[in-house]
Amino acid sequence: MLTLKRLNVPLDRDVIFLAESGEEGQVEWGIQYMVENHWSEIQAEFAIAEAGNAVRKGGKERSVNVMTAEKSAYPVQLLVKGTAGHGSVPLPDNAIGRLSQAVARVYQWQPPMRLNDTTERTSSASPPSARPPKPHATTDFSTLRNQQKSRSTIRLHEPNPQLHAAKPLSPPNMFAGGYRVNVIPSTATATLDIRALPD
Amino acid sequence: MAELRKVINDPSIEIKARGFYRPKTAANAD
Repeated sequence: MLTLKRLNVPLDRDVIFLAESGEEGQVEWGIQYMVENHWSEIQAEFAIAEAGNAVRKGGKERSVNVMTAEKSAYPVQLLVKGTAGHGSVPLPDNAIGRLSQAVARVYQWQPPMRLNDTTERTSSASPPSARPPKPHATTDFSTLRNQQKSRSTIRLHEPNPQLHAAKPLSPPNMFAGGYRVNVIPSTATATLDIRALPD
Repeated sequence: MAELRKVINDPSIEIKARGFYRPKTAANAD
C-alpha cells in the first residue's frame, strides 16, 4: 500500500488493509463479524489473504503468492457410547476402544487427490528460487499422481503443502474419554479437523 | 459426510458437525 501511494497509482476503488483477530477458530470475532456488520464499508471485489504469503530475499520481493480459493473447514465430532463398568471386567463395547478403531481408520484414509486450475498450474508457475525446497517436498504433481496410484510408496502424512492443496484432509486433533484408571467410561469423543477441497 | 461414515464403518458412532465456519442464520442462531 505504501508503494501504491508513493507511485501515485491511479485506483478505480479503495484498497483496504484489514487486520482482524479471529483467525480460523473464532471467525465470529474476526472476518465473519466484519462481513455481517461492516460489509457496506468493505464490499471487496477480491481479497489477498495472509496465507498467500510473499517471499523476500536480500531486501527484494521474489514472489507474491495469491490464493484463488480456500479449503472449507468441516470439523466433526465422533461420539461413542458404551457400557460403563469396572476396569477389572473388560467389556466388548468399550467406548474408547471402539473410538480408537474408528479414528485409526480415518487416520489411514487415503482420499483421492483432485486438482483444480490453480493446483494444476502451481508447480510450473512457481519460480524455482521462490522458496527453498523442503526435504520431503514433491512439487511435481505428476509424481504425486503416480504415488497416489501406488499406495505402497506414498507417505500418508507427508509434510508437503503441495500435496495438502490437492487432497481433502481429516486429522484427528482432539480425543477425550475416561476420568479414572479403573473405570470404564460410558462415552468417548474425538474431533476431526476436516478440510474439504473448495470445489 | 457419507464418505466419512463409510470410512468409519461403525453405525453406532455418532457423527456431529461442529461447524465453526457456519454463517449465522435464523436456523442456527444461539
